Amino acid sequence: MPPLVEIQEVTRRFGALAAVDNVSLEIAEGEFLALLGPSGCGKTTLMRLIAGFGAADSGRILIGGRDMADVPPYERPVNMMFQSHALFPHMSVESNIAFGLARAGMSKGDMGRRVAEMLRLVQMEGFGARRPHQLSGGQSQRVALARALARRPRLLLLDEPLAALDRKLREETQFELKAVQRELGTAFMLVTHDQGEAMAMAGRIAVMRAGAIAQTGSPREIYESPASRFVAEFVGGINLFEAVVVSFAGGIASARLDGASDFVFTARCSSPLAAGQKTALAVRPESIVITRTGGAPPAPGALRGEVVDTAFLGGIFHARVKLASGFVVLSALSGPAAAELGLTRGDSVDASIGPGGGRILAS
Amino acid sequence: MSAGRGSLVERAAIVLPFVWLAVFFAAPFLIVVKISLSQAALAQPPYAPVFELSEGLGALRAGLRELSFSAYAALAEDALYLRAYLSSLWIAGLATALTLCAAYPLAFAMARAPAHWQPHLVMLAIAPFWTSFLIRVYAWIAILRDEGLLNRALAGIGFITEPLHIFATDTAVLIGIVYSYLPFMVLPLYSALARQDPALTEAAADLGAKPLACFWRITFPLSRPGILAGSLLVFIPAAGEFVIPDLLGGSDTLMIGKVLWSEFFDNRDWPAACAAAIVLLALLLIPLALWERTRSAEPVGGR
Ligand SMILES: Nc1ncnc2c1ncn2[C@@H]1O[C@H](COP(=O)(O)OP(=O)(O)OP(=O)(O)O)[C@@H](O)[C@H]1O
Ligand SMILES: [Mg+2]
Repeated sequence: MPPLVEIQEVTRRFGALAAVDNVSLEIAEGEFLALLGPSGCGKTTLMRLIAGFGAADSGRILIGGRDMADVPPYERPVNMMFQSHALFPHMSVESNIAFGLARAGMSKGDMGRRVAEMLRLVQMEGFGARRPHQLSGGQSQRVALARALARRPRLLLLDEPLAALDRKLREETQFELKAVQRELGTAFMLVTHDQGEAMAMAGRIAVMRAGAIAQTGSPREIYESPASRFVAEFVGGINLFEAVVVSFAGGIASARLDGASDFVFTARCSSPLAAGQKTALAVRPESIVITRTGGAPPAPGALRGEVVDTAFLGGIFHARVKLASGFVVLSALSGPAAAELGLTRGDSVDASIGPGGGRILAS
Repeated sequence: MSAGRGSLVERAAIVLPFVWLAVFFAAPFLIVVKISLSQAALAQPPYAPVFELSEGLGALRAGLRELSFSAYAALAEDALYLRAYLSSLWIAGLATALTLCAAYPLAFAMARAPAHWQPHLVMLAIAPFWTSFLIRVYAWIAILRDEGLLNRALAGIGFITEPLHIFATDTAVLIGIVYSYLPFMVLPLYSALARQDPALTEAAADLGAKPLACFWRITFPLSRPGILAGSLLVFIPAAGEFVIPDLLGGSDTLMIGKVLWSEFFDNRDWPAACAAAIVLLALLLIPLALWERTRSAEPVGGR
């Protein structure tokens, strides 16, 4: 089956700035894709290009195999949930939801049924007669969702839909959105700059940086095998050790840590590296294993250090260990493991990288 | 202490507008009401009774007994007044509708213009105010006369052979009113349109509304407060307009402003003129007050 949306080498400029820079991306029927990136990286611009607001300077966007170049927004089979919700203030909740249905020429009876169904879907039964200004932020967000979904689009574009909500409501809504997406089978493209939100909701994440796609993959791939320093740092906590490549062969790279001449780490690396090249070793905090020193010198592959800070975060425990080189490593331990170790500030410990835990970054 | 001073300032802030209203609105209004209840007289001032504070309370009470509604009764008896009112309201209403039609596209284009142009466009919209109103109305005589600019231009391009008789007709009055009051319509419309969130029309387009549907279902209804404000700003002064019908209108152009003028200056019948003014005020204010009432009775709507 061809992908629902094909974005082919699309560039969109504002003056000298390429807000979207040669982006290629595909969205499959029914998938939940998160577009993740820092503020100003071009997420909204890319989403608006798909919805038909603004034209690409070069490249093509195909939806259902059809080139969208000359298709105005009102004829595209996608709907968008605006960051500001953009509910029509002079219409009731019901009329807001029915707006798109009436434009499609749906009969009164069908329209009433669809509106009721949508209100039920977003758990807003009984609010149909309200005006938008009589709704709370969370309620108006639900209405905006219902309105965007009412036409049964093949793709729903969501531009930071949860940004206005407080944390608790936000987490609840994340699950509700996921449930709605599963129930309807509509493809969702969610724009966010919150990596936690992207990880929690999406089946696939596209990380964007300065107008370009830095990496796409499942949340797990993005987290465990970041393709670059940028992705590694942007998604989740990370320890980045400066390193120099020793050798590269058959997709396996070895690198020596700066400031620890005898510490050589070997790992898979997706793109080829040259010996002597500067690189970085990325290790997630939960892959840093900590053991108490037993007086003996550190085992091979371990580095000695001193605990400089601890934090109990409920369920997990963070320890900061200052190595001999001066580099401070962040280690995340599960609650029970931390209790067993009983770490406190000033303890002398050995830190090593757990099995399968490190990545040598290509860039 | 500072709290005491603060509350004094606060109280002054509340009281001052009322003082302003009392001095500049209520007092002149009461004087006009009083004159409208007096009788015309060959005297200086040309009506009786005249209240003199120096004559004491007794004289005041005697004067009050002399007040009567005779000027209003005369208004009711003379069909000229009724026709003048109806004609004024008709001309003002038609002119308001025409002004709205002319102003809406202008205001719309202004609100959609690049942001850095907009302050300049607003300046241009009010630029006519830099020249005297009277001179601008006179200029229209030069344009609309039988041998004026318009007729010569039209004849020049071969569009007409006989001059169009526009000057000294109701059409000329309408043109004058639309021209003179256009900025009063453009500005509130512009501010209502510029305030609209552009995401609303985008959302409508996203939901399948073609440009025309976007306009009629979103932009236009949301600009209603501007339409209303602009229409009132045009209709109310236009209904009492004197200068434009006097200069551009014909002898048969009947507007209450002209009637008022001739009562004051030709007939020196101040009570009749004042009564006519009060009735005009009532005609304009009563529908407005009723409309306000129905609106405030509605559950809070709009924004
Ligand atoms: N209409 C415009 N005119 C000029 N520059 C624009 C315009 N819209 C966006 N930009 C620029 O393009 C870049 C990308 O903007 P965009 O709104 O797509 O970012 P974003 O990733 O959605 O950011 P955020 O997370 O803050 O919403 C920014 O540098 C922005 O300043
Ligand atoms: Mg954005």
